[in-house]
Amino acid sequence: MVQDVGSILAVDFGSVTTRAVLIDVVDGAYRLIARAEERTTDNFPASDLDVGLDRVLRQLTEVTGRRFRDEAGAMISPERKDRSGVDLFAITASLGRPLQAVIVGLVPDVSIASALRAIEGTYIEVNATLTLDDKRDQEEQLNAILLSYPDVIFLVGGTERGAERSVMRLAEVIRLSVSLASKARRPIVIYAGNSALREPMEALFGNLTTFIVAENIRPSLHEERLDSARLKLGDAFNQYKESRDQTFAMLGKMSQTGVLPTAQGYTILADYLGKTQTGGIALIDMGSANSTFAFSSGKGHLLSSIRPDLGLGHSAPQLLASVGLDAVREWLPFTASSTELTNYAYNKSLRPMTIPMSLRDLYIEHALLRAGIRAMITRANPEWENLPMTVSRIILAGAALTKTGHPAYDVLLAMDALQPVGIVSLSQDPFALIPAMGAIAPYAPDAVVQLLDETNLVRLGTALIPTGNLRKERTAVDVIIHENGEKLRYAVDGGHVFVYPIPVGQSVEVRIRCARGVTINGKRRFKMTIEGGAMGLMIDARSRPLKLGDVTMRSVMMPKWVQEATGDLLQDIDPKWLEAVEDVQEVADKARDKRRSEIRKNQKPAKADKKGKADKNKKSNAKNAKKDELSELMSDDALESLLDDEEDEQDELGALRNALS
Amino acid sequence: MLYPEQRYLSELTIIRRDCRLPDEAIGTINVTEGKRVEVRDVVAHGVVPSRYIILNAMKFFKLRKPEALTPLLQVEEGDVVDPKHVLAGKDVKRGKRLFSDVRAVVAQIADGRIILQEMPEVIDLEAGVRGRVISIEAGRGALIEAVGAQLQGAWGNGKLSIATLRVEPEGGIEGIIGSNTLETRYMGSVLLTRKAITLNTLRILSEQNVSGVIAPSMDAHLVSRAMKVDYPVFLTEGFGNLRMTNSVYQLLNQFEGIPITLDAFHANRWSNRRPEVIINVKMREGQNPARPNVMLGFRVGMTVRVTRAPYEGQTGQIVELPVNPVLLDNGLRILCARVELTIGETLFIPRANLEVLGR
Repeated sequence: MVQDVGSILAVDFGSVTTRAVLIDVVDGAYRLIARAEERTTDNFPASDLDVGLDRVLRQLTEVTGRRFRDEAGAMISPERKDRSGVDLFAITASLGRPLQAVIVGLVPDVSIASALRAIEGTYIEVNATLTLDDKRDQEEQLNAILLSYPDVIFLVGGTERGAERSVMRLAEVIRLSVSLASKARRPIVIYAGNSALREPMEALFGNLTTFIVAENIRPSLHEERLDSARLKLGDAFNQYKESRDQTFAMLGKMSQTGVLPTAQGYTILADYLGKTQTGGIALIDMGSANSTFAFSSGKGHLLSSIRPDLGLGHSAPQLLASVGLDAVREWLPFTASSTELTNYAYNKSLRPMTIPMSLRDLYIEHALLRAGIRAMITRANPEWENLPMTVSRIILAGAALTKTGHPAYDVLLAMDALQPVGIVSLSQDPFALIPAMGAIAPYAPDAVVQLLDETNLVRLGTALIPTGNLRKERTAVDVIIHENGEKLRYAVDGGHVFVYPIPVGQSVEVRIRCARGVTINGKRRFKMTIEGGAMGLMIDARSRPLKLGDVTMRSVMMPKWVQEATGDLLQDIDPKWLEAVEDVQEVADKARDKRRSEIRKNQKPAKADKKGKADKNKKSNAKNAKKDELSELMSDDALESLLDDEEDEQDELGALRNALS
Repeated sequence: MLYPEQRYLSELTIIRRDCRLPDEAIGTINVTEGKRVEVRDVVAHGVVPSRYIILNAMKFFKLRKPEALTPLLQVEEGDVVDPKHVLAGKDVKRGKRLFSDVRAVVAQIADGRIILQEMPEVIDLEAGVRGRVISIEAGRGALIEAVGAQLQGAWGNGKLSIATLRVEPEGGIEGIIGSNTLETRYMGSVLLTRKAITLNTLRILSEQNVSGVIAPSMDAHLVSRAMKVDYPVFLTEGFGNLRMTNSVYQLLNQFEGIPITLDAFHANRWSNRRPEVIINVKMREGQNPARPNVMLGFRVGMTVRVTRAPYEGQTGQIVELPVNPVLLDNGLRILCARVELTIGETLFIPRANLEVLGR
């Protein structure tokens, strides 16, 4: 294919950053020639992605001397004899609104659970779900669907030769909803349920809206097939974006490859690496608005998760809401009120690109990152909540995992969040080369193979993570490093991190001897050659799952781990930061939830009373019924306003208390 | 990163105002490209779909077949009905009749059911500026170019108003209600305060029937409350207890008593608009309003605003742009600018944490 596609320009438009890579054939193999990055310019004052594109192209021109646009401003392709332009211009993008979806299925734990896993294959956000045991009447269900303004309705349910009537009943509600939506905005309907119902479904939706059929995602209770549904959801995403998203449409016209969603690049690559390399591989990208995790076990099993609700910038409030305050606090070496964490997340969403300047802010930022990644991977595979991840290669992407400025710090964050074990090779992709590979794979497959060698990605180094009886402050691993004829001995204690820098291009012989009851990849003693990288060698002798302890312990250990990894000065935590925080807001929220459940509870006996009295006295029954109806009629809004009033009183008391104090 | 974030603050500039209906609205555009518009002109008209009501007429009339409903129908699809309007029945005046309970549109009559849609919320989108329409997006909105003062904010609660700007009294907003005399001068005006908004502030402003509030910040816990009030809430800095940047206050302060357009646009994760204050000012002779500079890059001498703690809201001048990353106190190594703050301190600040307040 080299003769067909030589030079390649790949640009990734992220929510915050636009990155470009120039790839060309050098000595018969594809190589990364130059890279550039700038702010994404879909916002004020440019409001035009082309401005950001122009900036990264200028940077590339400055470095390489190559022109990319002609006099009229059009991209030059194929490459000209004067070496201006490129043969292939590929675009990936993760910016813009994800598809809004409603999921309709029979049982939450079966078909809906599979549907949720299927939608994690592309940028989709679920606005509402509808199941068979939904207690709402048809009118409420109809409004739930229509007022969530879905772009796509994903209908699943019914095993093969299984339920038919129930699925059709749900389909009827969807048909009614679609028929009531304005013609210009009718959602796409994707059916991935019992295949026996394809024809009746086609009859229901065929003339009404775009109707797509996928394979049944749950052919039996014990079997799940997501590939076909994911493919069709991906098609729906592209179809929607091309027809209704002006930005995507504009980008699509510029490139020969169309626009590949950035996340799909990770999935394609994880799948490829899983099939061609031994051992598992994990790719993780935590962006500003979305996050992607792709994992291949090396045995043909691919897990991927795209989460539009997890991000450290635009989606920070959603991340906090999704993982919960306590999950974030678990990663903080100090106490923090809900107000502080919520304000932090909301401010981050207002200015996604900003960087923490204080130590406290940095810990909050990294706590959100760690908690977000943990949430993502444990949803992709719940086993990882308690069991360590067995993986031989990890690739990190996204500013948070690639731009602390210290490679060992980046690796430490990845170790905390992913908690792998064994011998792990680590690389970084700060230039969005991986999404580029996904986009160019169909046109230049050789490029993907050749670019994957570690000179194109940033090689960080190797991490050795022992498991077993790791005792705190007792030697867990003895390391002997042979370098330049010298023999260096180190002892790594349990609960600690050890980093030995090995420059890029160099390698060292390492002999490992683990303590009794401790192994690395099942071995107590072994020797190996470790290639250099931006970090070198890390031995993470902390337990798996990582035991963080209480806030006092974290305040000691977390700064220590950072120091051990980076070699920087120890940044002690101010003892004042450990003082208990009076979290008025959280107490109020909890009280509000409690009050809400009490009000709801109190409504139930009223119904029972109504029945009891009905037999005794019809007149009093009528009166009671009216009263009960009123309480039943109290909608969520009314309940909300009642609670608001109560809260106002509490707030006033609180304000008074504050004033007095 | 060579280009800074820009958040506009300008006494006189060329404004491009994006008048756009909410995503969920179905709308029509009332203006054409090139047309001149006044502040109060309605540029787009939209309706936001509202709840549907399903009436099972077949069951109500005890009919066996859906077709049997047709002769009983007193309305057609698309009809607007008021409460107590007869929807179906043999006779409009007597006998068994099916009434509408609400003012609604007959959305669909099928399968023996009459489906009503409660009257949708109607949006008349005003121009908010005196200017010229430069482009139109069918069904969504229009882009208007105008000349005036512009201030872009950080957060808004999604409401818009056009009203006179008033600066809070010396005792702050709480002072309004504390005085013994009946305060009416803030009624119908947009209030500018230098203090963070509290729950009490929101309540007082609601009671005073103000047309909006411009404040530096508020706690994020108040977001849901602020979204519920019926006047625009506009934050210039962000969330928490932040101070208003001096230059922001000074700019707004000089427009006291002048009508302003307060568009507290509520940006979601994917929108690329910002909340803004626009003031139509008359150009004096010799004045030449400039367009925002798209290619404005970082340079020494540039005035910038810091956007992250512990210096958020402070302004200063760039004195150096180091080429290599700088080690911050917290351990990060980041590309920075050395900035001399107006408070006298000179320090390294990540370039990503600097905003330019216009030309």
